[in-house]
Amino acid sequence: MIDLQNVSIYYGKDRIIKDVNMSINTKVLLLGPNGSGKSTLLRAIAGIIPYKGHILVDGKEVFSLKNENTLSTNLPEAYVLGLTINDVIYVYEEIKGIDKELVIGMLDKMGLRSILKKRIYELSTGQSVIFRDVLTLASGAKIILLDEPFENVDLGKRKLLAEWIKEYGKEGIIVTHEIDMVSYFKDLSTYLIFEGKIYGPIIAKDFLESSIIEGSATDNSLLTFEVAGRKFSLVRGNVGRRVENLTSLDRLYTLGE
Amino acid sequence: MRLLLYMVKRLITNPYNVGWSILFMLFWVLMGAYVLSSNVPKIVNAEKFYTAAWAGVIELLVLSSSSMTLTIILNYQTGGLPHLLRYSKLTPTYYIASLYSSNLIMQIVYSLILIIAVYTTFSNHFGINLYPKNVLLIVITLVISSLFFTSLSIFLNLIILRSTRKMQQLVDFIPLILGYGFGFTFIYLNMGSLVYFSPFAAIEALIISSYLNTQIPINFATLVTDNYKVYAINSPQFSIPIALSSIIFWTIFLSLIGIIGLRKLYYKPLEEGRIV
Repeated sequence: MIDLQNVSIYYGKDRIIKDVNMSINTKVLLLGPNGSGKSTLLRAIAGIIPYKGHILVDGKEVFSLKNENTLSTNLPEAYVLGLTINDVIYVYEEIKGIDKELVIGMLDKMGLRSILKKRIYELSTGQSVIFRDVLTLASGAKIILLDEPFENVDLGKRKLLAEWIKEYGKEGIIVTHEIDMVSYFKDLSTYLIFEGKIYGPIIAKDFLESSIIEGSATDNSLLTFEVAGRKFSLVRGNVGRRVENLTSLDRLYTLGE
Repeated sequence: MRLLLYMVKRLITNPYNVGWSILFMLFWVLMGAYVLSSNVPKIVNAEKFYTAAWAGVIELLVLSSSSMTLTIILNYQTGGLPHLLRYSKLTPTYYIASLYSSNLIMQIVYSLILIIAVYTTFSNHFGINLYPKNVLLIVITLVISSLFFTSLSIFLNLIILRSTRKMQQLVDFIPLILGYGFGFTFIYLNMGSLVYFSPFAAIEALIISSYLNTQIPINFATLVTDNYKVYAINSPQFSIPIALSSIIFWTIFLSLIGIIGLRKLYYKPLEEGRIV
């Protein structure tokens, strides 16, 4: 279980995450435009960067966690030990308990067995994302944190990846800014993040079938949020801009212009 | 154990490490044996001291340059430690033990290659057998020195991660700069008792002393400036136990800071080190 209580995260003097409160004991989606703080929040939960407030993983404060092998992430910072793909698998099989056979099997299905002897920096962006996704899923961790797991991944491979994400890990956060990918996870609770503030949850299916209108709606409103000083509401029906036609949440910044 | 094996394999076979710590040092061994030795008088004692002095300098520089490699490697690894120490089986003790052990194996292998190179080339040039007299003390010195250099590399990385990665440009070179600085200071200047406070000078003096298996003057520079003609036996002698104690003290001191500091780390992006 991930429990965030009044969490704020700063980069220098800039407050990137602003007093976030949320509690997660299943897999959820976290959607937000570029620069909204999605990855920053994952980094803090993964213990990579400091935070203010409380982040509890299975009841324990992340700051003081020691050797709790219950969480895996695809963040690149987690895979610093190893020069080649084979090296990384060799070392992380020991320290993270990843299932080597499962990793190789998954890479095989993705048509990526040939990357095993390559160095990490020789991978394409998409190959790197897939490899880190696979390591995360094959670790057997109860909690998974996936930051943009579909970025630069081919359409055909995205579907397979989405099936694995549904299959492995009991809890976790799947971060994306691509609305298209939400359709693979229609049953999951979905949170939205804008300018460091979290809104939600709503069910992914409801989110996809909703429309966005500017202002605070009173009827049929699912959620109200603020972007660049403007209020928007997610409402049922076809009254505004259909969410499924947005493609990316970044489009909100130009909505109405 | 896997981290240790992986680190040993990568450290020993790293082409840049081989280039700077073996090939470049071999170049200086050849220079010392065949080019810079022209002024050494044809006196056996002078040839022995000259050879031992080169062994001391070369061994110190091998350790310094290979430690620079370790410092740079750590720059990349330590970024992930905040995550791994919280969410994997990796403990600070296991990580540090792997670093110490792998660096020790690499530096012992490299140092022995260079000491054999000094022995064979200098013996060949002077036409006498100039083998190291106290191999056991050389190995003991190398083991303790390697532990010291590993603790220094970890300490330097903590400085970078606690301040800013921009410091990397300077800090990475510190083992090498101090190696050259203290190495040549001991050879050409009278450091007096300061030799015990500098682990670098102490390592060099220990190697020289154990190569000869005889006491050497603290003011080794008097021998060098006089072309090794006079052995100033009446001047204060270098103490092996004090020098070993000094290096062990520095190693324990820096290691403790390292173990405590690693637990409190947070990630610093590599991009922070970009200066242009």
